[in-house]
Amino acid sequence: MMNPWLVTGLSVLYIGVLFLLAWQSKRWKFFSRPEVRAWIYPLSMGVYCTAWTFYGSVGKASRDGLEFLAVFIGPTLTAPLWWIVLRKMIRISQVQRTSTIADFISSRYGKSVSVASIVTLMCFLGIIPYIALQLKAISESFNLITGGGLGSGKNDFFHNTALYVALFMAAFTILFGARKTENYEKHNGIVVAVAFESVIKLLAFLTAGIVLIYGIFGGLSPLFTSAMEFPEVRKNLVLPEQGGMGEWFWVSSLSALSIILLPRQFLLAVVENDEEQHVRNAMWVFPTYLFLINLFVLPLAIAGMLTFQAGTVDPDYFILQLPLHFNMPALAILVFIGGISAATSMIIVETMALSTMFTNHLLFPVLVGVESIKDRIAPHVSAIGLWSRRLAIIAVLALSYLYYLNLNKVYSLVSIGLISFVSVAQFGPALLGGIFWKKGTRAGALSGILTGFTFWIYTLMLPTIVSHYDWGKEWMDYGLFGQAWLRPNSLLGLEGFSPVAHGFFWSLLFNLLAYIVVSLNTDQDVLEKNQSEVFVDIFQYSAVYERTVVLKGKASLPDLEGLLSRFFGEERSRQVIRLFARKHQIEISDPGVPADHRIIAYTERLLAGVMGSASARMMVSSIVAEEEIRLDEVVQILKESQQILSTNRELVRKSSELKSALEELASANFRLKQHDHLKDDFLSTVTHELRTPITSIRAFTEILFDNPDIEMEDRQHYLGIVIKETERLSRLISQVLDLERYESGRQKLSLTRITPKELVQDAMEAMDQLYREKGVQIRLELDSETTELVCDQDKILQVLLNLLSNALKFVEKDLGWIVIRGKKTEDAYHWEVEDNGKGISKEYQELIFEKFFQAQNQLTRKPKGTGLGLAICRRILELHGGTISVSSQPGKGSLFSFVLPDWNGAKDSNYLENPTETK
Amino acid sequence: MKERNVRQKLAALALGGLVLLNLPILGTVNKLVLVSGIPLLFWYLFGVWFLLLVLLFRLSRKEP
Repeated sequence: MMNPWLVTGLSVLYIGVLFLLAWQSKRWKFFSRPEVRAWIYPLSMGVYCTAWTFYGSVGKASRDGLEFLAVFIGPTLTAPLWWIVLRKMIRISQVQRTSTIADFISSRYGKSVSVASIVTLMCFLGIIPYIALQLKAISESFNLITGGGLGSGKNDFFHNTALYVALFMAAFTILFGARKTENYEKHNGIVVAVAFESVIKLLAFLTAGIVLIYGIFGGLSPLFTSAMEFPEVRKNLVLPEQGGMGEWFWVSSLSALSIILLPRQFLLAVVENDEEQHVRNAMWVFPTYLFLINLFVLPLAIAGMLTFQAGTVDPDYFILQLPLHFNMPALAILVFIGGISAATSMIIVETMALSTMFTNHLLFPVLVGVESIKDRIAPHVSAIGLWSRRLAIIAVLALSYLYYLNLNKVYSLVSIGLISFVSVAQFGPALLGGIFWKKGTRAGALSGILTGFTFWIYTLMLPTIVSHYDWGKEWMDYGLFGQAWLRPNSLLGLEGFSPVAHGFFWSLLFNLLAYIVVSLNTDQDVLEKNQSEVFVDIFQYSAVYERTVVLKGKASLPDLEGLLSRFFGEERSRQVIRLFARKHQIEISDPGVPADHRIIAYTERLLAGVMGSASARMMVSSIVAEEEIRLDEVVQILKESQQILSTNRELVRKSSELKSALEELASANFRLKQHDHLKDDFLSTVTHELRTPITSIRAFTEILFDNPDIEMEDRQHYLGIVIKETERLSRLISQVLDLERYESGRQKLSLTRITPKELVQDAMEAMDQLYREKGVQIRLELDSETTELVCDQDKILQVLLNLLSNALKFVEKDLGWIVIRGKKTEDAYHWEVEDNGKGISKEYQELIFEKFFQAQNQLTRKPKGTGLGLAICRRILELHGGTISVSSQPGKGSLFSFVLPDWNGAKDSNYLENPTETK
Repeated sequence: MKERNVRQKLAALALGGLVLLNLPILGTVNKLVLVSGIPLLFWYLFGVWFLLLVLLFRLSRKEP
């Protein structure tokens, strides 16, 4: 046992650290770094793990084995959906400036005062026992660690630890949770402190687990092995028999709902979120936190059962009793501090949420709603709000303390926590339905919540109270009025469920039914309609929210500023209004003219951050002369604002289309210019080529004209030149025309069947005379004489003649030889024309197939041809689907080869009939 | 396009976890057996949980 004053001193020191953190964290840069903030967010959500997790889970594990895990598996399973659900809630809350879960739900259902106040009442009823539970945990653990505590027992009012804890918590929450009027403003200090507490409790639990299990019991394996020897311990290594009723399923579903619906979770996960992207980090950090904090729960429960005789030690405090038993005071203190951190973080955040709810949803509606009070309190409304929250904090803690004093011992830590869970789960249908289903109405939400609430009271809340009394026991065992089907723990004869699963199932079932059935049979009013559209399609509206406002009232600017100045001061009110007007390009006119409707809506939103949306609505409508607005007008306004969005999107799409069209146009233009350039080149080459023969023709005819008495021999010679040049000219022209036909694609082939031999013979006959004159030998090497080729006979003959005359031009007189080869392969016919002329150097081998290129021309400037022959050859072969190429060694000769595809067996007979089309 | 993909994977993960960590599958490993000194159910629950964490971590790194 330890000195009570030492323990008290350490606890006060720990809470002092919390005060310091909450107070000073703003000044430390560390806490505002983005990567640190991304971790603070999920860690602050660790407020989920209260003293019930810290102490109670071990107790639960020593009764029902691994069943305790359901409470943590539920949130883990829904964590992947946070990006869809939680992020949506965050966005809505930020756009609507809601500060509590009650505000959120009431805002969705037309900023309804009744919804907000009922949700608030339910939270009070459901949560106060839960806070009492935390006080109980702290006080009992204190008594355990000090061996009796400061006083003689819990009935000694002034010597009770729980009282001092409650007082400390009240001071802390008032100092840091109710500092400013505007509670929409983030409570950064508290969030940092809560995240710090999460770290402490995790460290404490893990340290205790590792030190005890590995230090004393030799590790997990020996511990479990010895557990197997005792039947009552062994049973905890599995889940208890469930008889198909699925306690596990109900509890995990229940906790999956609670993780976003508990007021403290809503406050930290939704309201205090300052960056939607942090949800992504939270999706894995928070489940990991739960994983780690649960790792040693079962082993510690087993260790406790093996160490203590059954019934001598409360299993709920095994984790504290074990270090005390094995005489490890430092570890005991660490565990105790961990327990305090689990309890205090829950108390602080929950109290903060409840006090805001009380002020905004119970007090303000009364103050603002009653005509006679409203005007009197108007100047002091800000101070009233602040003091109301402070007093509510004290009231909540006082109520919790009173509840704790009368706490029924029968109920363990866990079951009271779960009963709280079931109460907040009643918000599930209205909230989740509200953000995904537009048809949900206020009447539906109200009847759903009230129905679920009634069932909750009857099946869970009442039994905790009435089982003190004899008449209560009778009621429990035999049902109300002796009707067995009204027994609170087996309503309608439903047996086999645990009380929590039973209560959860019935309350949520009837809640959901009432919500859906009533919603489908009632209509929404104008404001509801507007809010349901905005909530469900928040990601479309958040950008244009200002436009969607349906208030059509008239109010003067000074009136609005006057309203705001009660909360924010005159100077600041004027500033925010001007800033908003400038941002949305609203002209601020003279005071006589009614203010723009967007400014009215903005004013309402600012007020909602201070007093809740329902009260803000009442405030604003009191100074606004509202006009009736019809439902179809609302639909129209909403549609228009959506249209603006889709028009914007359309515009973006159009402009990107336009851009790509422009790019295409530019590249087409570039190609066109290139073609134009080629055409110019071609034209200038052609003219140049035409001029050469014309010049010489003209020169010689002039000589003949000027000298009538010229010698006969010379005359003949000159005339011969003229004739030759004229021939060249006409050849050039016909070839240019040919080429033009090929290039424009107008040239058609007329296909016939012919053997290679016939083709070559035709060519040889045409060339025979020339060959003989130059004394050139010519040889034929055709492998098959019967093969039939399908081709345009004249055109292929033209290719052969061209190649042969080229060869003839470049071989030496009397020494030259030319070989023509023909080879049939599987799908083509290969032709070769080889000579031993001067050859073509490598760099020209591809160029010679270009128009007007003459290899020799480059050096001698004496044209031996038109420079179009080979270009035409290539076009002809391309038209046939073949190719032409050359290989040559300068000085040794050249080898021209071309390939004619075999069309004999062509599958596509169309190609035969109309080959140019497929080209 | 990509955003939808990650979202669908997240939804599939939630669904898969729901099936793996509930009856009837949970019932099949609810046996009093030690595997390397650790109860089978303990292995299974924390193993699946760990797997979920790894997948969640990987998905949360992607731009959703």
